[in-house]
Amino acid sequence: MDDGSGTTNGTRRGITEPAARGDERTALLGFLRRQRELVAWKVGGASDEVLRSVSTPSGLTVHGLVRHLTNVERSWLRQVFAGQSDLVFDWTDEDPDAELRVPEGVPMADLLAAYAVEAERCDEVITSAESLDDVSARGERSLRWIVLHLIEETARHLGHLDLLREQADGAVGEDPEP
Amino acid sequence: VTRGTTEPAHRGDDRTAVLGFLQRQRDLVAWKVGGASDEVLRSASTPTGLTAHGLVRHLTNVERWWLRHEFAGETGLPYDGTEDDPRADQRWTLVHLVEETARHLGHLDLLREQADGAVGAQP
Repeated sequence: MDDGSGTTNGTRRGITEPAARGDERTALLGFLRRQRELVAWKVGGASDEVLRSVSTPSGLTVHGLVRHLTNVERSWLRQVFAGQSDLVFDWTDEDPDAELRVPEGVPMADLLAAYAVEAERCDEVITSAESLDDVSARGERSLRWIVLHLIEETARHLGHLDLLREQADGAVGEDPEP
Repeated sequence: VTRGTTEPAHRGDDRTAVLGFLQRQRDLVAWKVGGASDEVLRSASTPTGLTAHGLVRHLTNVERWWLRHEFAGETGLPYDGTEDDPRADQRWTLVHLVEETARHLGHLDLLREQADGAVGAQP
């Protein structure tokens, strides 16, 4: 199995390992996939009840963060970069943080499935662009900037999930154990 | 630079952008732990023992390891801990530092909130 030590993205313990050398787009896609997969791994293996038992004083929840990340990818890659219209978001102009408050009955499995579908559509935007130098339909940012921003944003929220998960059931760790 | 924090170039070359993202993460770490006394910062930790002071020293070691030891091949550098991984190019090294610093910044977000209630993604 490819371990990512060459010029193609590999896999280590079920998580993408970005290519150590070579093509920029391959590497950035590898890093973004790794962050998404770590999010799914970090919230996995715990019941909705356990995950819902924790939040920060300011109201961040595990369910809310996963839905936030799904909306963020849709916004940056499909709306801002690709200029797609008729996209549906969980936030509104009147309530810009609405995606963070997930209704009680929505299971994590549904949120992760929606995140995975969105990731696939967003990867399609990244891979079908001419170049990472391409500038967004709105806001004049390069595709390179947008993908790097998604990596930093997903990683920061993964840090929030690390501490929320520990608070929920004591599970810790940077990535899956061997 | 916006509000004292690096804003990575919106367009242009690979190295400028990645360096901008890394510098932004470093700036945000310094901002996030700023304006609070050592006493206040030391009052918060996770059950496994992560602290604001520990995370900042960890990030210093991580940069020294990945850029100076692994990438540049400098020897004889002192560490408070080590990691090992295959040889990677400069881009991989810089993007890895962005993801690692950002994840720890997420830890600092919650530790700072626990210490004195201060929150926010940026200044």
